[in-house]
Amino acid sequence: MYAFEYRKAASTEDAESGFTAADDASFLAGGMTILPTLKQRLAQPSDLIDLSGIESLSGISVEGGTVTIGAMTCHADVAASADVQSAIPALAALANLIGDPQVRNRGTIGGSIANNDPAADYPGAVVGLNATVHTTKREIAADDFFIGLFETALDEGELITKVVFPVPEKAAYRKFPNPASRYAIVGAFVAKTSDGIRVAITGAGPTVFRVTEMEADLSESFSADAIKDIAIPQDDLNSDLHASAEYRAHLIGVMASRAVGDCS
Amino acid sequence: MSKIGDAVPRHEDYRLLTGQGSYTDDALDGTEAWMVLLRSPYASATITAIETNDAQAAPGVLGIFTRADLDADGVGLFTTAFPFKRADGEDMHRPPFGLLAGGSVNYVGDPVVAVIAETRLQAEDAAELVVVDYDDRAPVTDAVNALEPGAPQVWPEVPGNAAFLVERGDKEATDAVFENAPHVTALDLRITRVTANPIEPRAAIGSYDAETGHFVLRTGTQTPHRLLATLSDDILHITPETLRVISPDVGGAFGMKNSPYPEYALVLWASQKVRRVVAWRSSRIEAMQSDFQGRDNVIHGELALDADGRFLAVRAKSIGNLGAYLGPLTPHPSTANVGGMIGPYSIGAAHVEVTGVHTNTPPTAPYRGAGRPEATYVIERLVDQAACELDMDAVDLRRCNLLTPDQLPHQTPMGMVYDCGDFPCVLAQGLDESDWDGFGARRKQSEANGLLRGRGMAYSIEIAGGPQSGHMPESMGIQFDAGGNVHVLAGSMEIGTGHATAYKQILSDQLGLKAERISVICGDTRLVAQGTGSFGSRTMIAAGTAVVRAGERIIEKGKALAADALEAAEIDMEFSGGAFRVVGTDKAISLHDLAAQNDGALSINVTEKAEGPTYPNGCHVCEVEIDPDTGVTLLDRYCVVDDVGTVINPMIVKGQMHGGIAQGVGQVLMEYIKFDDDSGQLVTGSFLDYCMPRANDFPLFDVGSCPVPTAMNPLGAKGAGEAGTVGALPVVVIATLDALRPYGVKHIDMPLTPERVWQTLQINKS
Ligand SMILES: Cc1cc2nc3c(=O)[nH]c(=O)nc-3n(C[C@H](O)[C@H](O)[C@H](O)COP(=O)(O)OP(=O)(O)OC[C@H]3O[C@@H](n4cnc5c(N)ncnc54)[C@H](O)[C@@H]3O)c2cc1C
Repeated sequence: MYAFEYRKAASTEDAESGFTAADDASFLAGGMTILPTLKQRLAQPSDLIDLSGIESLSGISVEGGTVTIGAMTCHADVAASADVQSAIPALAALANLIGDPQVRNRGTIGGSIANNDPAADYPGAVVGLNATVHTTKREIAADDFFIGLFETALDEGELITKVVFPVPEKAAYRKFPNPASRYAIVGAFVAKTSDGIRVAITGAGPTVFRVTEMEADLSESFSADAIKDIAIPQDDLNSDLHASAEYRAHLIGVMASRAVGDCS
Repeated sequence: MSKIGDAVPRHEDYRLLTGQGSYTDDALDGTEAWMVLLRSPYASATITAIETNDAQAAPGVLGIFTRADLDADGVGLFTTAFPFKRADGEDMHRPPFGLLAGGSVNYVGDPVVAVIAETRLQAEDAAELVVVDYDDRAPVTDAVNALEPGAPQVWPEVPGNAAFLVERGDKEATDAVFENAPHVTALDLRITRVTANPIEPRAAIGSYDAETGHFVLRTGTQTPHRLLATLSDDILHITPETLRVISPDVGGAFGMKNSPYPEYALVLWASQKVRRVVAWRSSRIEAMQSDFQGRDNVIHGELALDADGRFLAVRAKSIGNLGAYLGPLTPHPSTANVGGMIGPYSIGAAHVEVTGVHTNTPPTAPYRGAGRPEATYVIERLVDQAACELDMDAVDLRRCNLLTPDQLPHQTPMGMVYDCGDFPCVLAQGLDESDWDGFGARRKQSEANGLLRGRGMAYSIEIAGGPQSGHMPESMGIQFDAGGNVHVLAGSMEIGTGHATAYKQILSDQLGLKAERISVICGDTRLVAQGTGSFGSRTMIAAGTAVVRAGERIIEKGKALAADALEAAEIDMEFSGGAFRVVGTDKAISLHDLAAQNDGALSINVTEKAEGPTYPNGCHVCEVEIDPDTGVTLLDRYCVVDDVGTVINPMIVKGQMHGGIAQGVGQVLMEYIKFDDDSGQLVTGSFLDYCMPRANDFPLFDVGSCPVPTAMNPLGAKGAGEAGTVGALPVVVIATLDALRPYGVKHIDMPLTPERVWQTLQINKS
């Protein structure tokens, strides 16, 4: 780890001005991604701006058909929230599948989606549920937020404050975990919403994506059978030690079908 | 009073489970200097220049050293004693294995420069300023590829990369049997490379006292005395009396901590150079790169049978991946235990040929089982395959070839002598306890859930406390202090296996001593003058023998002293229940009291050997469930019935079985070391990719026991440390194949990762 300045921000304004004032700052949320990166000397920020003291960034509320989760809310709190469990059980279940208890008690939804690891779980829910990401500057629709591998629509120093999830009629998440890291090799989030059916796939490609062909077929007939013959092109899928693109393409079908099954 | 056979909770556990263990790093007091190693980023390269000026000037730097500095000081090389020959009959080449890389680097992680600084952070910063120029070459990491014509050469002195050829058994007799055999089953098997990943990574603290000229090394090792001998004789060229090795608690060893390592010598040597205590601790990534690794064999095995399914002969050609360098024990695992390929069977002839191969990978070395699981894997896969080819029941086939108790002792064609055992009984109990016959109903249930279910059985037998000729002694001191308390000074090493608890049980049982008045000391070469160490499932056999022999001598000595104390004749003395008595009277004195009255007179040091090695054996049965849509293979049931001879402490034996099975299953289902074929980079360089098993990957293991005590040592114990792993390797693959065979699958290699199982099903579907 290289040396850096540590600052604990008292408010979002404080965090943003700290960020601007520094040479090359990074926000620090749960630290589950950034700290291992620093330990391996793969990043050298001049300043770390700790968001954990900003109370307004944490918390869960359910109202008017939405679930709002503060950026600094840790995965364990989402998983254990009775409100989330009753409004969007699939979201609570997804949070409970992330990492291990230590990671779930440190890692945050803001950190997860800001980082946009291709194998992260939350992007599946954010896109699958058509959530809105609120930042200190604006509101960003899920479909516009995740741009590419570790890349989001966030500007330099733009801070996520909360994520607002519309409550769906039904939703389910199926995850095929990487056997070693337990990140998603393929995660399929299927939701029946007032705006229609959404199928979001995480883990399989450089970033989360929707399978519109499945969405169309499921709108005709919401059943696992309806999508069982849809072949997913392998070209843009990830391929690694644990899963080739061919296997990932196959797993997308299996996981999406199972998620549909869970919804029915 | 605890006795042999009681499931006494381990005395060590309270301390270890409440965070009071004392591991290597716990001795740090903050004043130490730190060593950081700059390691090779290439699998194969010539070092053309090393520039250290900027690094020397960095804050806190105390010294920066390269191989040239070591050579200038006459620091020695690691060497192996194995007297192997090449295929052409010449002595095998011993590639120079120094503490730092010489003119070339030969695997990713090969240490090149040692940086010593005030703090670890400063040493890391300075290491980044060292510039090493490399001229890199194409590497080879796979042993089969390394034998191909035109493959990259790891060492110019080893053309074709074949370091040695070792033969065991009788080639002519075996080939003759194969020639006329009615049936021959053949398989090509790959046994993956794995690594131990102990919770406590390797660490070392070296200190040099300029006033006395004495060195102290603190590091967790299985063999403190051997390590001392290697470091003083071969590397540092100092008299053994000037080096003290302290091995505190060891946070996981698994054979990996049986070898000496460059870093251990470097902290000592550097300590003398910079006149500071020097500490080093491996990071997880360094551990993945530089711990000696396990297994990595490619084996062609054949079994000859007659028309009735009687085994006639077995033969195998095995390729063992040695890595780039030969550590002292590197040639051992691929060669030493190939005799296990006979299994518990009556087989007339056998021949095994092992080619040791250099590659651009870290050295391999013993890893739980060290050749035993590999050998058992070969014979049990062959037997299972033969049953399939002959359309016979695999259990019946085993049963009709098992050696029976009346055939023992039995010398196998590989030279092992199975002294005792009741294999048919162990097998029957294994089938019974595993509910073998209830499988059909369970398979139906799985099928109803859309899952495939397979069942497998494997019979394991392995040598413990070996080798067959030349098994090693162990030393044991038993001292009584002025208060009559007992101090056991063990030459064996406690590596988390509960030896102290077992020794206390033995001494309580034999001498009537109170467990709470016994302390066990090991892992300090100054306190314990002599020792061999703990490896190869030997401790209860070798050290147990030494404890019992020491106890016998104490009784002998005690009788004379007790006769004096009780004013009786020595021939009238008897010893029972912890006290010496005058026969036919109520005059008695307890051993504790007698020792207290005779300061030091009862203390004794022994170095004793068992009569010979032993052959623990067991019947492993498991069932797996496979999701055909994803290839995910779950271990659903696992039962083992083992004969480890006399069970000193059933709870400890069960613990060893659980850990051993988990380690074997881990290798079969998920763990493996993978190098990139082109670059030689380690692909599984962290736990993000190297898949360690978790508790929830396993069902509850059912561990049964069918002990047949051996006469090879006074306790009758056979060794339990490796038995679980030996059986687990074959049985899980066999069960998986059983599930896949209905789909036309004939063969599958470990690791049985979801994608491999799924791909195998696809190939056979189309
Ligand atoms: C062992 C392990 C297993 C894991 N398994 C999984 C898994 O199975 N599935 C999964 O999805 N994830 C997994 N993770 C990742 C984990 O879930 C965290 O969510 C993730 O590391 C990021 O969250 P964090 O709060 O720790 O962010 P940090 O590490 O603190 O920050 C990550 C990045 O996001 C930026 N950032 C943080 N907060 C904000 C904000 N409010 N606005 C703008 N930028 C911000 C930071 O500057 C940094 O660049 C795992 C992590 C570990 C260590």
